[in-house]
Amino acid sequence: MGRGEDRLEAVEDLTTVAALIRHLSETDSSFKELSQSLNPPLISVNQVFAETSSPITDGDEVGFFPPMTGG
Amino acid sequence: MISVQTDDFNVEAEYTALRHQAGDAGAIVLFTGLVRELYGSESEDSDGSDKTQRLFLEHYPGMTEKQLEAISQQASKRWPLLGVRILHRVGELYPGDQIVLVATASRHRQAAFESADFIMDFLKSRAPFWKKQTTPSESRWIESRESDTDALKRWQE
Repeated sequence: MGRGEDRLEAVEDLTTVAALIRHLSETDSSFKELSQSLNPPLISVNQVFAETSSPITDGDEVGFFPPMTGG
Repeated sequence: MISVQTDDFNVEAEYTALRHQAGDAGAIVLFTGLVRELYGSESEDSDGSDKTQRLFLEHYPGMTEKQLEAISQQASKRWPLLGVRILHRVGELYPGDQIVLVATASRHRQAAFESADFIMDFLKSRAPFWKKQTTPSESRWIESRESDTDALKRWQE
């Protein structure tokens, strides 16, 4: 995504990661690409692996990142 | 114990610490991963343009430590371990540098060997680290390898 960290104002009805991706896609072309990608990114909510269907709430930390290459 | 750090590590000091912690261990297996010069390409007739000059290791502070702790706990559930040590470096690294250390202690060698292998397999594709490789011709993020995700399958029962 080419960025580290963004903070969002709480928006009503953003109750899942999928809704957050849709919301960000409206203003951010890299999220638009991401939402249409055949290789979806890995997702975390509050530093735990999550899915697009995972619930989110105000104050949560959501991560989007590529496959990991440690070791 | 889990550490994510930029500093290099001393294998002997880590071994000694685990040996004291592990009490009546009959086996300690210690693995170290090193930065290779030929990272992406295995070919012998490389023209040198794909040789690693520098590796940059990025991580997700907080989540990385949590994931390593979770992997360590999974290993401890699966094998009778007396001690686990995982240490992963981040930041700028060069060919020949130590990147990672995994050490396990148990009463018997099989558990120590297998659990160290298990931890390394999970660490490679289940802990948020990313490698950026700089060669004479380019600088790019290294892509994950299918063989690394395939390696996890052998631990599924």
